[in-house]
Amino acid sequence: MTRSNLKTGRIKMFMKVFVATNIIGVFAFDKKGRIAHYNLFSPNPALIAARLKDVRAGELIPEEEALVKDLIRSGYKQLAWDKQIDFPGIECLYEPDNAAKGMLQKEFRKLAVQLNFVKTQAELNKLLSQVNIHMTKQEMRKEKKDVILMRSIAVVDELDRTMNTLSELLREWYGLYFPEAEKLIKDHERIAKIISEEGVREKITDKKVKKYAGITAGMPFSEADLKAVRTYASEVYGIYETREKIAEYIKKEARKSFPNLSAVAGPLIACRLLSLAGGLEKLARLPSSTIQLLGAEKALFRHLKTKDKPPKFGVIFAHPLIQNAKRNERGKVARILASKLTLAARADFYTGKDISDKLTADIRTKLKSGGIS
Amino acid sequence: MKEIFPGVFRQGKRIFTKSITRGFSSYAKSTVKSGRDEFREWDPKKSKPAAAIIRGIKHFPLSEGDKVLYLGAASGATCSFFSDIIGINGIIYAVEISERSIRDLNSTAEKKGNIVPILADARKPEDYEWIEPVDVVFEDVASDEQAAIMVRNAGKFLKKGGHAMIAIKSRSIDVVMDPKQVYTEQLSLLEKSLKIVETVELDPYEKDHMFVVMKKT
Repeated sequence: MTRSNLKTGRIKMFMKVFVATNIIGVFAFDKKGRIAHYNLFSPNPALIAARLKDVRAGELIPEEEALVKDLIRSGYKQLAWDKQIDFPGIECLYEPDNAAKGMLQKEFRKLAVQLNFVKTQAELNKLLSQVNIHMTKQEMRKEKKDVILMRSIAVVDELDRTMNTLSELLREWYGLYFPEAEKLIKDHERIAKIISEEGVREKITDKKVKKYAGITAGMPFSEADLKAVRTYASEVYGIYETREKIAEYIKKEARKSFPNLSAVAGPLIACRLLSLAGGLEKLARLPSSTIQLLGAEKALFRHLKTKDKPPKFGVIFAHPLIQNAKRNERGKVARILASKLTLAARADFYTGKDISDKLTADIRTKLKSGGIS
Repeated sequence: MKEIFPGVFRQGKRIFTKSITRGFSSYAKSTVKSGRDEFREWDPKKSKPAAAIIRGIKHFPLSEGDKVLYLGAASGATCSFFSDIIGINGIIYAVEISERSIRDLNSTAEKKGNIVPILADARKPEDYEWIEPVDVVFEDVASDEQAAIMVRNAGKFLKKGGHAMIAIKSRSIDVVMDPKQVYTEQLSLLEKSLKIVETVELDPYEKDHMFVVMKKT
């Protein structure tokens, strides 16, 4: 193809067209910016949104196919496009930054009215808005397990906080009636269960507590008093059960969706990390030093501002490896753990391959070579 | 009501926009009816451009029919006032990264008709490269690369002679550094590709924020 051919436009069969698609339809321009062929969408926002979604996924939509056929029929031999396709009868060049895109971007308002796609600019604006509302909705409809689990872990963490308060209140209340039971049964969940199911002093079956039933220092409770506190206890116990069920669900789902993170961090901590990072993709992009401190932002900024001592760990503090480490070794353990968490997050996001066995083995070797048991 | 900028009205100490969608009172501190018009009060405590206007900015480059690229649209509160100012012949391309916020932005957009919600990251303008050239770019993004985001987006989408506005959030950029120093640094980054027209600090409405109006020459 030579420049003179193009300039005179005489030899159509050698001419190249540039193709682009946008909200109003599919267009092919020649090198001078004149429209060779076009194919408008029908002005239905839902349909246009669906088409544009396919276009962005690199698919050939019916309107584009029809346009290419028109081009072939008119004798064009070469087209440039930002998608990679093969079409019998015409040479398709892959040119991601071809001129058609820019032309359409600048001219689409004029074209929309000239070609009777819409009557006014205001109408076009409205359509643009509608189409994009549909497109954002399409995007949001995709299933995102990390987002679901981030919401669930927030509930579990809030329940943990709330249950502590509720249990304290229950203890204070029931303690008036049977202080010895309140003192001896240390576990919040268990005492809620016992009050709700047994309640009356004489009916309590716990061996340690039983013997105090007759000699208690507690005050008498009327039937109504007892009924009220037991109703409350049964609700509190119910919350413990709910919390357990949700936690079980999270563990199961997290292991399925993020096998590596769940194996290295434990599924609940894994979800807390996701939450703090804002999703799996974001977590996968964080450096290990940041992951180590996720959840310790307050301490970190205090350190930066006032030169207070820096934090060594964020939510990973609850991890058994750190919990069981000697105090002076916890920082080192946190660093090793965070480095493998980083790899785990990246494996989960980018490859989806389960490399958790290797990661956990690596942590063990590293701990050993660092002299930590 | 006195029109102090195109589409922005003042009554006493309060500022308003003339609503293009009567009966839509969300995000307005109050609404005032005057004849057939309805005015929505623009709260400087909730919207940075409103704070800039109240703090006495002299240039507010937004007018009827403008095409606007809005980075960091959140749930569309400030967008809804821009939408009133530019009217039905104008359009706002509202970029927002958070899905949670887009949900609210969508419902604002449904009602206003001239807001185009885009779920994307303002740091990656290539993800929404299809939008047309615009008259105004506005950025209110909490990021440590605020200036870079503006430079990239204005370079790609802003027409020559068009204006850019940014609310620099000092604490997003560096929590420790003195805000004054942050402003100086950010301004010098912006200055490389845009001409600074005016700056105003937004205290007490927004702590450690500076509003900057720029022009692409």
